[in-house]
Amino acid sequence: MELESGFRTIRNSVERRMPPDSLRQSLLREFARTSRLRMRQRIATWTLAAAAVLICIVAMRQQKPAIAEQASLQISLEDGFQAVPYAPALAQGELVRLVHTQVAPDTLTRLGLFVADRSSDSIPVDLVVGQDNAPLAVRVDEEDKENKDDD
Amino acid sequence: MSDFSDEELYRRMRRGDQSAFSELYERRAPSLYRYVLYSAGNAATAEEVTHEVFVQMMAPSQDFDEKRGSVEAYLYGIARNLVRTQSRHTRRETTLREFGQEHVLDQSLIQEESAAALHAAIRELPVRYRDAIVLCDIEERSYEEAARLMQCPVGTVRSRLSRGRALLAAKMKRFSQVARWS
Repeated sequence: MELESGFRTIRNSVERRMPPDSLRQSLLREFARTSRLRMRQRIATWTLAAAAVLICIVAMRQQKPAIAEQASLQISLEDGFQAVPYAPALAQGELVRLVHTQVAPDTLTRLGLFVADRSSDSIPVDLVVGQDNAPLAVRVDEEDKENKDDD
Repeated sequence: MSDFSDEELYRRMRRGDQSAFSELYERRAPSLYRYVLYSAGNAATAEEVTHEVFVQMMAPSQDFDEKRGSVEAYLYGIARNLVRTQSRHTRRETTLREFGQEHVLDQSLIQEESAAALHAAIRELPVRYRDAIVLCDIEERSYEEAARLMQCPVGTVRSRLSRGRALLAAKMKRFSQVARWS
């Protein structure tokens, strides 16, 4: 048998055959399913990205008041406060608190601050403390002290 | 049918366009189905492989690279690998009678058997030779077209074709000797 005629016979018997329509239908269903899956993945990715951006924005906004606090601390230092010598510098974004309290004159001296009146046992002061509660600046509350002296 | 190239249809399909997928299927599925039918020899495998080719094409992890060839060559590549895997698993010998009953229509008995034997011989060829025979001798594609689908140089197609024909001729010679004796 000639190869050529054999090829022709095979070709003639197959060339009109087509894949069944059920195959096409099944693939279209599969495509719709895959597309839905892909769409869900895309939505999840975008949601995650949006959430990440939102978190960044919130974090940046929360940092701003801390910076403002630092600025106000500098203003306050010019307004009757004495900086505690060798106090650690404020970290970026570190929050400070203003605490009104009574301290012994010796305590202030030990912090390296000058105390003119050492006669009383305790002096009313405004303390600026960092997040680790270390004193950063001190202001003697003269008004409170005078009231105390009057008593 | 639109004027879009296969590659454009593929891009649209990846963006979720079902009509692009449908058109790509209409264009490529019939020839792929027949290619598998020639290579694997039975309709169930042809259907299964064609289905799997398109499922793999639409899978999110799969991505066709235009720089490496056409969409058609990409689909043939998937089909070729699937047929190879399939034939490795189901290496069953299709008898001459099976093929004769299913496919050969217009020939006398001896020629039916010869054609069936030839087809069985083609299926037993190593993939590289079988591809060249199926694409050039049965589907009557040009060497250039076959080279594009086989993703190899034209010279390689020619040499594989020549070697494949020689192997087939030897097998058919043995077949005719056996047929004469029986």
